[in-house]
Amino acid sequence: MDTSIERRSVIKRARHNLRWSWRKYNAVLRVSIASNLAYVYEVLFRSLFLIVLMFVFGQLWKTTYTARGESLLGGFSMNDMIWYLAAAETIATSMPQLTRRIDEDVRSGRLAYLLGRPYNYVLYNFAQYLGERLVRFFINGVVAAAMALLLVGPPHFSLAGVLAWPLVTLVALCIDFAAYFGIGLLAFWTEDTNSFTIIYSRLALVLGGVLVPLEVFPQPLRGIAQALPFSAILYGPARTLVHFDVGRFGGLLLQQGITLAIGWLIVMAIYRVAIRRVNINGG
Amino acid sequence: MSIIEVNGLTKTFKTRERAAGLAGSLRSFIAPQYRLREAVKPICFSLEQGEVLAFIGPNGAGKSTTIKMLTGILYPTSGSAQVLGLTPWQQRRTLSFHIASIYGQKSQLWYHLPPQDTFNLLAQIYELDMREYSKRRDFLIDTFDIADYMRTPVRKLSLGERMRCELAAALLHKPSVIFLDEPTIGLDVIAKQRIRDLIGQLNREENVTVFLTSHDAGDIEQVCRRAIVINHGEVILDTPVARLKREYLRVKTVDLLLEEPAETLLKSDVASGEQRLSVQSAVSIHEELLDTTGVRVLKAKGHGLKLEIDTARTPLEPVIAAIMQHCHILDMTIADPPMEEIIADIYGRKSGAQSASSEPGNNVEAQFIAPEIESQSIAEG
Repeated sequence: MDTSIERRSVIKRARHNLRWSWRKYNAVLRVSIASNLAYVYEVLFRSLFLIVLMFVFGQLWKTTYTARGESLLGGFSMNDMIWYLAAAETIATSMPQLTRRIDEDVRSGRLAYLLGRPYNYVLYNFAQYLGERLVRFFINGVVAAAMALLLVGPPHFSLAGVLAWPLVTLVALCIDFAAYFGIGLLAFWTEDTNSFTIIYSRLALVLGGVLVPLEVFPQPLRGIAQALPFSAILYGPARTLVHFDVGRFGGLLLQQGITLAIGWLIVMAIYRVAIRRVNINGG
Repeated sequence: MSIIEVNGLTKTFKTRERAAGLAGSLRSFIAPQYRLREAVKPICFSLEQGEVLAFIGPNGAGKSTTIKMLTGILYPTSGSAQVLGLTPWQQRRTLSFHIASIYGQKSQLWYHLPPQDTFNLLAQIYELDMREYSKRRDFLIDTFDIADYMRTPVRKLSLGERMRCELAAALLHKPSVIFLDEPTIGLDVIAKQRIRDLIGQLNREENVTVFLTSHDAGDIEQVCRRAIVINHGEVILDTPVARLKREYLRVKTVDLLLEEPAETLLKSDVASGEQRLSVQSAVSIHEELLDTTGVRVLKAKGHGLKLEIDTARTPLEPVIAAIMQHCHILDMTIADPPMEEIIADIYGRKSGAQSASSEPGNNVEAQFIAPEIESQSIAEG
């Protein structure tokens, strides 16, 4: 009798926590989106870089395809290649300065506000990051799509690819958060996390298949790049959109799931140690 | 039961030391050297519900570190503390529903959005009932007179306006204890006064316990009833503010800019050779000279006059009134003694009391009351 009452009260408490957790982080997400929309023209202006980048790569691919006299490279047509570039660049260039923000919170002492609230600091940061990233993602996506349309015309996406793409992209954004947040937490130990951020972002750029699909990479580099988590963030989602394949999609979801689970466990472990090391400046 | 109970709380920081120059940098890279800094030495005190405590001290005294331990953000090196019966660093989440903290130099409001958005977000974070929240928000907007700023992006608000919004935001969830870390820093005189009035009102109307740290003696004099002075991580004085004012804040520095040359108000003292203020009393009908025994002329140049007034011997108001009767005052600043001077004074009295106690037959209690006895009298009062 007592056990069933206890169980019911535990379930009730869990439901209460779940309901409020959803409301809290949803509210943070909405406020973060609103805050970033306050500077929508700035984000739009920043995305103009994409126009230059896509124009340069459009010309390079055109020359490459003409020089080789082939209509397919690694299974990608010129049209696929430019739309792949647009999809991968949209994800890559939408990354906000998450590590710098955590660095700044630790150094300025603003952490005192952020830690003293009834929420999970990691999830709060995730919701804030997601809001910021989604705004950048949509604006960059529109600019990149417009440019690709101008360069090579409409894409040849399959309906399944279009439907699967948002899911794998969302998981990719979650993995990216775990990676950058983990680096940001190093601010509790080091004075500047910028060097770690640069190394990670450059590795992602080179090995993640942002500019070129991994199919074009020579072996064994292709195998190594495919096994690394960067491909689950950039190459995987872009390829799903351009060249959808059920088998590859299932494999990507599995790779993303494992990467996210391991990444999240590492972040939580670092956070648990970091929180005991808080050494807030100005006090 | 005490709202805050602190027993032997300490915090030691380990900081890396670097020697100057290239060789020093290389040495510290190969063999890093660390230094242990005791930010807070064992401190003990307690606070009852509804008390307004000034926790004061110079820069680096350990004030903010103590606040951060009491709000659960920093883990102490040793000792224990209970806030509302909870151990802050172990039960931070539960505690955060019942306390609020404001850091004068940092903002909790979203910079690019109007305060209204942060208010709505905080309502969700503190799990407030929406109907209750609406009532509370309207009440705070009215009390803090911030209706005009609720739809203006925070980046466009002045520091004083922002601070009022910060205070209102921190009170949305009706906290029992509020920690204020330098709430008036950087504010002008009017904004400072507004914030002080609001803190006082909050304490009176909602019986909120206030734990305030400040450099500004004005905050302490006008808002608090009890003061704990901390220096180098140690509590050196725990006393009612009335006594602190009487003994340590009695000397004011008055800086005046006059319409007429300052010389017209001064007379040379033949015996000492010093210049003395010589003005007629504003209240006397017999054109008597004002008693200026507690007034010392620090500087008199052109139209500028700087006075040091010992308010225990000569009250401030008659001096100002007498000067105003003689000539127009174009500008005036009244300053309290700096914190460093107060600290030096406390140490001076302490060592005086100790040396007096070492002489047989003397009673120290009469000159320097132990902090514990002072705290008790406040709690009872």
